[in-house]
Amino acid sequence: MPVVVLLAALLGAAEPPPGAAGPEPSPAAEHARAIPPEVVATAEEPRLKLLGVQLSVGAPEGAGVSAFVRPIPWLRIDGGGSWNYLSFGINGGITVMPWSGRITPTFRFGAGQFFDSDVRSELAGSFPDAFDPALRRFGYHFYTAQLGLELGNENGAQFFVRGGLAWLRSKLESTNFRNGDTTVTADDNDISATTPSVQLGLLLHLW
Amino acid sequence: MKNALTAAVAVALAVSAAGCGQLEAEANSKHLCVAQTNVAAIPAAPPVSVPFAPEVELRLDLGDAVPNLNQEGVEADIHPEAITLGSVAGNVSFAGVETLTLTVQPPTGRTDLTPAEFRYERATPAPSEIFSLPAKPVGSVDLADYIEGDIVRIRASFSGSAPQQAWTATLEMCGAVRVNVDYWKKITG
Repeated sequence: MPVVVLLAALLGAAEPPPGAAGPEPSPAAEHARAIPPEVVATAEEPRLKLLGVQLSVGAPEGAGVSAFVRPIPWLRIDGGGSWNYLSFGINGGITVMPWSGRITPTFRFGAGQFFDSDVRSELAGSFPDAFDPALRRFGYHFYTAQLGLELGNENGAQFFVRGGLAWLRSKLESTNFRNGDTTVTADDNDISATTPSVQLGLLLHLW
Repeated sequence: MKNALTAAVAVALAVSAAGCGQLEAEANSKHLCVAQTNVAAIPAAPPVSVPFAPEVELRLDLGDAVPNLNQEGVEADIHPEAITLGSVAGNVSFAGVETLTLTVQPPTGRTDLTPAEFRYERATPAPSEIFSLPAKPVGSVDLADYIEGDIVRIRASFSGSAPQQAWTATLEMCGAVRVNVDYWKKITG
């Protein structure tokens, strides 16, 4: 019983009695009361989802499925697997979204690797038989820089299209071919290229 | 946020500006060899060992190794380590040859180029049998400048004594090759 009385006394001391003047409001409290209702409403908007899935198709990235994380509103990091008809690969990227909205401009840096595979049958007829040794183990890695647009609900589903430049590099196996009186052998070969890069796809913001 | 936007736009513009002139592909081979048989038929020398200084005109076809360099936007560097003269039979001894000078002729009308020289000197003491003559470049040579319609014209001059049997010459050029194709120039050229 004395405990209940004590608690009641403490509670009574914490709240001013009805009709009594309370303590002077602090400047911070005054400022909070001055914030317009629409700003308060904005602050209460649901937070952007952190995780999602990206489905994409393009060149030189191929078709891909990636998971992404959006740790801060203007930055997204993705990584996943891809396939370019010739082989499977991995890729990832960092996307900057300078502002939010239903139409969002983006800038993305990407990188990836398509693993070595035997592409002789897939490219049959495209190259002389002489290139067969080099095509027995063919893969490449790449870097991309792309500008893009994302359209849709940034807390739901968004369609995106991106374009820019890609840098590709591939090591080629040794090759040896003969044409009449001429024989050409080549060891320690590589090819590199700077090419246009395009990608389109879907972003699903899930969690 | 504004800083991120500014940075993104700046980088995008920089990439776009840099990229406009850089739609290109490049192929490199650190060790490429082009070997050609039946380059020239050379008659037997007299059956006595006499000094000789004949000149032979040889033509090395590089068409299977490099693209047509007359196309707009296509460039190549060919830095040979050696051009080796041998025989098709492979058993013709060049032990009597003291020196071989291969002079690569500039294309017709290229007055700005001087002939490029490759040189072989027999080791001392001379081996009893030598079946090929590797001539090394004298100074730095870019053979791409000397290609005319896929062909490099080479004048071979010898000192010493010639093989005493008829032989058919082979040529092999080995070196590093770089080929660059600039799409932008191809498109706009």
